[in-house]
Amino acid sequence: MRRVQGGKRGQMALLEVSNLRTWFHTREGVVRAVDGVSFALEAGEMLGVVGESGSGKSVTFYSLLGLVPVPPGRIESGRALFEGCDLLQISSQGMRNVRGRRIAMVFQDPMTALNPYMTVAAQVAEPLTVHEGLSHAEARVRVLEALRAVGIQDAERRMDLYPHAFSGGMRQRVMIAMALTTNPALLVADEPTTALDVTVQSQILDLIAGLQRNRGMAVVLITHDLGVVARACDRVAVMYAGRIVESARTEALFDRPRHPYTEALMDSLPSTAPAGAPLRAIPGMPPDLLGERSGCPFAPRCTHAVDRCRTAECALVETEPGHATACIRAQAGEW
Amino acid sequence: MDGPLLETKDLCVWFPVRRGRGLGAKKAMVRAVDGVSLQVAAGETLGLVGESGCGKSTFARTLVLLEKPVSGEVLFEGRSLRGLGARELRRVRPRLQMIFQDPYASLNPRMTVADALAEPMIVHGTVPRAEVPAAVARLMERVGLARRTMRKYPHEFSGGQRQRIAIARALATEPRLIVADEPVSALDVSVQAQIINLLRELQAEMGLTMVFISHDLSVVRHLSRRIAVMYLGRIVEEGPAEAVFAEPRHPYAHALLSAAMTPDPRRERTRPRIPLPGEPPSPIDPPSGCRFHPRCPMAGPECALRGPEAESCGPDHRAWCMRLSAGKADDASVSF
Repeated sequence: MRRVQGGKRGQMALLEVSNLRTWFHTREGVVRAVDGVSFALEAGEMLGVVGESGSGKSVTFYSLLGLVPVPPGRIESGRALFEGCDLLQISSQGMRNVRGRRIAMVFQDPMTALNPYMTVAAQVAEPLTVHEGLSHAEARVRVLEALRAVGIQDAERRMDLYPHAFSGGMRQRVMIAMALTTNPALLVADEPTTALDVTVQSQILDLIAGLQRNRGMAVVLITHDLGVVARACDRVAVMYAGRIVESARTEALFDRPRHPYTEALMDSLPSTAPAGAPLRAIPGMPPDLLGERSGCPFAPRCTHAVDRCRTAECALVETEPGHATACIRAQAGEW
Repeated sequence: MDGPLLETKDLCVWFPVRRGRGLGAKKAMVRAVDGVSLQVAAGETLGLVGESGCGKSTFARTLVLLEKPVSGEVLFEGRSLRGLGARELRRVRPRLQMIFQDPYASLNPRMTVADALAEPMIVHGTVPRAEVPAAVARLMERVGLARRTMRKYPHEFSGGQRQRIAIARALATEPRLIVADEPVSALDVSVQAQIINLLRELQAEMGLTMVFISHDLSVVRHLSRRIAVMYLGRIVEEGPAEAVFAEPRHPYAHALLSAAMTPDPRRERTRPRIPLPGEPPSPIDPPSGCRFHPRCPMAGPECALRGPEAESCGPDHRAWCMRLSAGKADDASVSF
């Protein structure tokens, strides 16, 4: 086993991904959705993965869980060691033993992620009957526990209702209950609060953070919202154009971003702008991921870019312990 | 002109629904907007915040005549919009425009940009026919769209560019009032800032009055001079943006603003937050008295009995909470 960047000395990471590339082969050409992503995740840690739409943050984790449609998707390279086995190599039978049991997932939209034809109890029980072979009655007991643990009032009566009888926030709680019934080591939450109201967002984040602490479960929180990251995550990886451009502990990242994209993203938020002043918008648009690229993908929009940014190989390198950036100028101490 | 550009008086917008199934179904009313009185002065931006289902979008649609109130009225430039004839409506409509949330759904996929922008000018006759192409070109330039893209269709544009088209279309008739319902919510963070800046510039340049709705409190704060907080069909607090954000007086406004997350890890982890138990009740049978009382951390027995009156809590700043006058909300807010 290799030791991991950012990991504690001598301790093996729960999940270690190296050089993951997931490309989509479309009629227009090859879309490099994930293009060389490496990171490690410790047990019990909450990692925020931030990026805009199309940055590859969801596809990265869909790839690990075998959820990328093939074709057009194809995993071109990479390794993903989780509890000693490579998720990208295991059989589909092996994946079924991991997915939903050791690694659970919560999706963005609780309105479509639940089956409208199944009662909540039946859906939450499914992972238990499938993965643990519990009987109907045994599963019901565990379902009730799980629903209570995520704060569903009057769970005994409401578990036999269908999803439409639940509000958005309650459905997200049901999704989380379903993900947690099998005591996974890792929960991947893909924009779990984006579709919810502000006050409900806050409740759901507190719930996830509480479960992470109490169960020692690792969480990957995929989000576009830097506020969510600031609130809940221990560590952050910032993605742009299919790559991680910066990773650091949360405080370090917000105190002193070491990639121009991270800095520009923070500066463009209305909450950081002085009252009355225009926002510092990032010029241009996120890049087209079609075809081969060279140099730093952010260079065309970057105010610090110099000529060699457009040609150099931009690898993620630690500039301080635990703080890595893909900006070659930051690496050279020029910025 | 003296007086507000836009005013609503005790505006109620209800929708009939059927409750229950089959023959036993009963008719009921969803009280989406239930007695809203607000004023917007010419040239100012009013930010309207609240959670989904509070009625803010219905309110917005009513302002631009897309919904009909069951009672109360909307006054625009001092004149009631109630019972206007077709001819008068044609005169008013171009002056009231709306920008919608989803630029993927709000543009006709079969119309080129040029056609989409020319249509309102021609329909309302705001620009002489011969000058329409020039006006379209000017408008595109103004919102930051390249003139050479005028023959393209909406699907050829990104989300941010589509929102620019939607903004241009709203401006095509030279309106006085723009109602923007979550105009940047569907956009990526880096593009959001561009659109927010554009809206600000246009407003200053054209002297537009704006009602701006968003669930993102930081966006509303950035753009608005005044803020109104809505809960279950009613306004619970309104006042100058700085005052409301600095010191919200209504318990719901306080909880809502405290839930908003800021990109500052230290502050996020230490600052107090007011947990709100449960979720808003149904607008079909709203709670008696103050609508927030079942979830309010400070509610007393009297809150269930009668609706609160507006309490002044500073210049141009009002909150609808009866505990304020009793002085009890003040005490409680210390212990938050």
